[in-house]
Amino acid sequence: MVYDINLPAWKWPFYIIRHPIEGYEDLRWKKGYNMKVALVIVLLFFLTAVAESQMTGFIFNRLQTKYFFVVPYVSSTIVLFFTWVVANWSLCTLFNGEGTMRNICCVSAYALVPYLFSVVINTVASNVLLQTEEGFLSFISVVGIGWSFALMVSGMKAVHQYSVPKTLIAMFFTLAAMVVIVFLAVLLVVLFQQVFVFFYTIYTEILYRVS
Amino acid sequence: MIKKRVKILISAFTAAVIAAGTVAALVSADEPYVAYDYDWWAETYPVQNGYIVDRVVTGADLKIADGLKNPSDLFVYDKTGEIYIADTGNSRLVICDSDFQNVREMKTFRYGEDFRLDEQKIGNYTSLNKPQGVFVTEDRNGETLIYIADHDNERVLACYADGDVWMEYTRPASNLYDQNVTFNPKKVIVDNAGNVYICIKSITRGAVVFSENGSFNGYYGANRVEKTFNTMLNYFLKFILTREQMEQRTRPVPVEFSNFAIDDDNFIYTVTEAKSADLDVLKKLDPAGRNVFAKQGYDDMIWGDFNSPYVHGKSYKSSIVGVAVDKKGDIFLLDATSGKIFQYSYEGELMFIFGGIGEQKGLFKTPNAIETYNDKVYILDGVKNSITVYKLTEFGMLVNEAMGLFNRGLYAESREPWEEILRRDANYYMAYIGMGNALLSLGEFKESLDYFHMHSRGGYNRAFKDFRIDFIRKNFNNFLAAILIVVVVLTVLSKFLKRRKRKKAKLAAAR
Repeated sequence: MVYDINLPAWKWPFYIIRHPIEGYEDLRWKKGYNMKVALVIVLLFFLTAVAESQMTGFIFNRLQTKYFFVVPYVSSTIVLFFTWVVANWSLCTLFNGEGTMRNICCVSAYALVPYLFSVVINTVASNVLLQTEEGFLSFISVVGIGWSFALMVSGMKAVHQYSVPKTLIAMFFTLAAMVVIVFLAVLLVVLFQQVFVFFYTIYTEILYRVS
Repeated sequence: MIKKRVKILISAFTAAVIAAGTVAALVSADEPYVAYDYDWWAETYPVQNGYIVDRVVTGADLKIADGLKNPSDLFVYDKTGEIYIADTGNSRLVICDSDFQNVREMKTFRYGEDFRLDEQKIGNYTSLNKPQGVFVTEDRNGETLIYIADHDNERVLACYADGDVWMEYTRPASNLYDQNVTFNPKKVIVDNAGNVYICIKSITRGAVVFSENGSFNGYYGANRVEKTFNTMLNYFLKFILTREQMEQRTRPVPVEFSNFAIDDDNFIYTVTEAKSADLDVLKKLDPAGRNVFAKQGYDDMIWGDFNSPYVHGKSYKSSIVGVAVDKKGDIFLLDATSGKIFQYSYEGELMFIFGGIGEQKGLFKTPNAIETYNDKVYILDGVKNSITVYKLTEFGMLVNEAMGLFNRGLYAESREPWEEILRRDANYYMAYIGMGNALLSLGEFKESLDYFHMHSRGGYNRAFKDFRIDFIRKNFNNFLAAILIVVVVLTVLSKFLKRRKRKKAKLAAAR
């Protein structure tokens, strides 16, 4: 808002990284939300998680499994992200939040960028560092996560036009809402499974009777 | 004619197949157990056998009256190769030479002239009552001393080879020893200074230590207390409750260790039998009582089997009842649950797993003592009343040779045996670590990294350190050149851009 900015959509995340306090307000003012950019970031979130597990150097890699299986990575990145978005939207709509689902999605995705950078840097650096130099890696990851968290708070504050304490409370309850969503999803799956088993039993029973 | 020829051909072929089959059967080792090893993810996979059964000796084979009856301890005296068996059921000691010949028994003992504790007893006779442990060493004059944990008589008897008792270690009268606690010695060992360590089941504070002259010296080498919910609760309650209230609560005690062994350097190895114990299953204690194996790297080491299945309400977790140490410092653990023997190097690297539970030769019902002598492993079975002797296979000898060189730090020399081992069994885990070390000391860093990968994080780290320094040294000029070029290009580019910007600004101003 300080100066007149006109940025292409893909430059907004980088602008926000450099302006953690005002960036999101500028984004809101300029209506710079772009779903395409957000989705690319979410995809990168997933890809970096896979890359981290597979390409981190042997000395530091404690995630490597004997057999690679993609589902845990999908659920811990893409599914987690959209659960966050849905939970946040459901909660904040009820508490005078101004953000739409689309806006929340963009804001949250943009906030992930510093974390993604830290993961990429760590993954590369872990291939040239020794056990004694582990401090560098943890420093980078702490900075990345901290920065992303700060951006997330700032973004939530801007997109819903909340005060800082209200933002923090909303974020905390968003986490609780995520747990509820996951619980309900699991319940639903289990119930549908039972229903399926029920119909399948009837089907086999009929088969026996007929033949 | 043709038919006959075909017939001959067929019969010849069948004969050949049968012959090939028999040869194959002869070649493959007919052990009743499968040797296995653990990979990087702690999953098992089969490897070649390191040990096979040499012979099984029962009480009847010893040609002694009454044979053996529920024997509970075995000791091989390194100096003479004599085998001492604590024949618990018959309340006697059975002694034979390393070929199980010249068998004799020790049943009654005479208090000799050296017995200083009670002059009145000199000349009297005494006998054993369910002895559970035996240890043999020599005194300063080179005379053989036998220590017997005389379980039901509540004493440890020390006598000469001729049966003359010269010392008796009984329940100490000290305040340090709770007089309500029984004194039933299970196992006994003696260090070079003549201190006697007695393992007693009812005592959780460690081994009871006596000095040579029979005075009580305290306790040695207790296990750590396991971190359970109760211990954590106690920690927090300490801030709230009064001293009296705290005393009402049960105090957490460590699990007692059940057996021990001593090596030539006076390191004492204790093992804990209880399945509830995850901590201090094996300890290697220095003379000050510190555990050498505690917390290496991130976690404590796991001894015995890694996974502990729980089937039909019964836990199949390893229960280590015996420990033996050989001249090289290799540690042998005996697991009563699975009847398996685990051989570790002196640094705790798993080398071989063999044995099992069953009826066949080489399997056990209740294995309860282990000894090692001249690369042979002796297992005493208390129900089968037998001693099983294992010997090294050719593969086992190779591994022992390689490990010997490896342990002495002769990594380069150990390369050939490791290579031979990998030719015979490309799965053998330690060979990769050995090869990694060998190649690292020979300066072949890249290959060393390949061997350490997925086998040893510490080794990989060491190899990578050298590899990195070597890489930088070899490419230092290139690095320097690259940096120089980048700097020059950047300065030129920035100047160029600035000039262009200025021109643009001028143009804009002119407009």
